[in-house]
Amino acid sequence: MKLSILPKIIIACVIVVFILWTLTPVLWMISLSFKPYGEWRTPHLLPQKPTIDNYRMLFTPQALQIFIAYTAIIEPVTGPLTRSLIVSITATIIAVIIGFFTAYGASRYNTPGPFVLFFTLLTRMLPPATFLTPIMVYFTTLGLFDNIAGLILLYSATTITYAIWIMKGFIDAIPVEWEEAALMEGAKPLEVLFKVVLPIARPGLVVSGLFIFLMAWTELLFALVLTNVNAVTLPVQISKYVTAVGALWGTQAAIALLGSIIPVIIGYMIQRHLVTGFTFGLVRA
Amino acid sequence: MSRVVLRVENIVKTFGKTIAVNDVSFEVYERELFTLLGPSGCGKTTTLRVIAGLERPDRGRVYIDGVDVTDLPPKDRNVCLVFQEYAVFPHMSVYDNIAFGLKAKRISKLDIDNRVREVAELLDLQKVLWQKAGKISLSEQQRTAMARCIVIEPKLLLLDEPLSLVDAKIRERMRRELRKMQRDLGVTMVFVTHDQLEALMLSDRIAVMREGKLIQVGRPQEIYDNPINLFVASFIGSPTMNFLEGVLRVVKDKLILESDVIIELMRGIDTSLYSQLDGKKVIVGFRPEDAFISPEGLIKGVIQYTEIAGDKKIIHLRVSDKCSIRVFVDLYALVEVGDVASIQVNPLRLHIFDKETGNKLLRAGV
Repeated sequence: MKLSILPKIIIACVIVVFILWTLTPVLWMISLSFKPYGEWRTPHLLPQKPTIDNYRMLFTPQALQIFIAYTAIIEPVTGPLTRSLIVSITATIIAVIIGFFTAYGASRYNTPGPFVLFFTLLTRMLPPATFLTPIMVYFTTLGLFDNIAGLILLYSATTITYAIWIMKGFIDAIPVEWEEAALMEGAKPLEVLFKVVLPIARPGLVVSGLFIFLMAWTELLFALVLTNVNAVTLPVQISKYVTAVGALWGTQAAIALLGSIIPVIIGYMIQRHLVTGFTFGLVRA
Repeated sequence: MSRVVLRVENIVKTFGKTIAVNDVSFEVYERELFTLLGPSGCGKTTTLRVIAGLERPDRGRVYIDGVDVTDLPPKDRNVCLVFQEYAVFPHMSVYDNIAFGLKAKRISKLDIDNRVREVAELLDLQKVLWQKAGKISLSEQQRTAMARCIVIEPKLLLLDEPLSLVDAKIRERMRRELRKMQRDLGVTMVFVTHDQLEALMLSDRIAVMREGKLIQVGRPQEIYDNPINLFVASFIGSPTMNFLEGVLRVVKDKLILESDVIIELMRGIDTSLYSQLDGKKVIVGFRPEDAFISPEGLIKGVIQYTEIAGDKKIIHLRVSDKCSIRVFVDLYALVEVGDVASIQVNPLRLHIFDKETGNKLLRAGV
């Protein structure tokens, strides 16, 4: 029995190191967000004189004298935050709904065919920068530049493939007998879809939804290029605190923290579905 | 004869190049338990799915209560199919499972409730009524599946091997329950199984299928006693029928089979009946229970080994290099391995099949 203690200690140490490795940047971000201007570049893990100035700054950029230089480019955080929420949630809903129907068709009737289905992945295989210019041209022509509708369209279009592939796996695992039994007992095809298939595939819906939400929520490259003033999203806003003029490290940490809290809250709310969602394939196999 | 509920006419169904069902026709009468029996892949499940409307036949018609339903969707046929597995929705309670079909029919809540409870009581499901259907035992799931079908009161209840996943002990009980329920409710059932014993125990009539074709339709006793060909003869009955292969000879009043040895099958036969078979290549069959040990027995062989089967013993007898047979004897019969035993076959129970076609040529005494 004594022999087995040593491996346990080693495993425990590895876990501790891994946790520190993962959490240190997060802890640093939290600490930094509470540090006053003077402490931003100091190596203390804990703020010497904790302050919420960074947070006040997010909501009223003009409040503090030292930030005056930035007020021209930085708007209050509420704008980007609301926009990011609208963009991410709408894009997720669109992608998941279209993805669900497409996945159902692909799973049961083999539409739109394996090639097209695979083709949807193409948007994810190219480096995003390759279609940055074409999209830019499209968007300018269509009046979608600096418009949140454009971002919604773009995010849902590029993430829909995940919704399709994740949910196809879930729907494939649903025995067709369940649907046939429902049909037999007098349910209409749409009733079968919503009362039988949808409830069982719900973990897949939730998992792909969260996945897509996180992608849209954190997307920087396209948002940076395709927005100017009216459609600035949270990631773009975060990037704005570090500029050629100077870097507002503490304020950036504060907004980053704000931006991380929302996915954590959502993840916590749907935790129950996440567990079934991630283990679904394992249990079935 | 009572009313015809289901009439299947010349059904043909192909999947790509394979012919799953090949020109199958039969009728099912009211309150009857009709079984489609056959080895796996014989087309029995496809036939059932065609009746249910889940598959479209390439040719042929399906009539339910005299109405041609071939082109109607499943929900308009007034039939219900209980599947082999995955018969219940795991995400709903047993109650909601049973109520599913009624809700789809837009019946008032109170009526739904009454009928669900009525059927749940009938099938002894009250205790698990509010549990998730995915969490209850297999036997309860099977009964839930049955309840879902019964509650919508279909004209025809179709069952696709509903007992095949249940273990042997429970299966026997469920078989009895199913039979009793079918009688009590007076439902017409089409039952699919590959288990010949189950078919014999349950059915009013059996249709034996093979490779998409209907081979024989009849009451269990008819099928057992008078199989139409070698396939039915070998498929039905456990242990299987004994088969001896050779050339049939009629010598005076004796019926003789020329195999690697000469086997005298019967004496004192009606020569006029058998003379036409003289010189034909045949396979002679008789069931293990239709032969007995007798000092006057004509077939002699050495006992190879014995098996105990309940209140009987099966002796395995080697008649020649090519032929060995099994015979039921009394459990306490004094037989030892290595003994020579002589066997008498009940002449009324001897089946003679054509070796070429496998079809029955003659059953002795008929």
